[in-house]
Amino acid sequence: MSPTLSKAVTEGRDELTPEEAERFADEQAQQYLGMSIEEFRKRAAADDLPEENPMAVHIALLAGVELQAC
Amino acid sequence: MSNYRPADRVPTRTDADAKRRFFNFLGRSLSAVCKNAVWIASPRTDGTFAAITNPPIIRLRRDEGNLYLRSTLEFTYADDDRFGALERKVVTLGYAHTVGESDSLKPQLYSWEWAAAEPTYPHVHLRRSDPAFEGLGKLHIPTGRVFYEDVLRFLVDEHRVQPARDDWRDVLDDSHRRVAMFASWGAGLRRRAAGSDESSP
Repeated sequence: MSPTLSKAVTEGRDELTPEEAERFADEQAQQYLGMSIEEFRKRAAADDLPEENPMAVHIALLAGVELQAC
Repeated sequence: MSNYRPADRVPTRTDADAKRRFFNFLGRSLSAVCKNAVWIASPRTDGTFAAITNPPIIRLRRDEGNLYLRSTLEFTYADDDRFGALERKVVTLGYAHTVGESDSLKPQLYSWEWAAAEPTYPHVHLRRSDPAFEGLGKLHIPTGRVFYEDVLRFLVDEHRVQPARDDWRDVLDDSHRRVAMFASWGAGLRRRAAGSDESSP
């Protein structure tokens, strides 16, 4: 359970703030891919992401990162 | 819109209304398999949004071992002038629905994807990163548009995921009927109506 998401839900919101969204994307990239969201963006631009990891497409959709391939 | 019923329409004047309607139907569908999860929007730097669940990965109960589902949709808002007065609606831009056998989604069973990446057609990956099926997971198998309700119904019907409510099938059928009716493209799984002409295209 993500504390960032849980805080928003507990407060009755159906949308994260931009700051929460960036923090959540960073949490997810760290947890599942072992990198920051900034590194994820750079590696996506260089087409250097682990293509076998099923989380990559979700983190890309979450952060608005265009993958070279999915 | 041959299946249109006046009660189906929920007019939305603002983006907030459109989001509420969108999440209302997604939430009803999710309640078919999970009682304690919700959908939430996450803004992106380009002005569009991701829709995610909390928790991000949903545990789906089964007698023969749980499955895990992560769904992410990308969406934006647009004018909706189909009903005379100017309204707002959600437009889906992409999706990923990934099913795995652990809470890290590994090994992965399915991932239905449609995103702004090559290939841009909707497709499914089978058994990606599963060494027992080397090479299979790299294939982008075309699917047409797959709706969230298609995925949930498939998991209950074919993988014996335990429904979270007795009327799960009615809930999914109703949500699917609505989303297919109002979707701008790709009407998803169509069910043959009783007595229909099988020779029809």
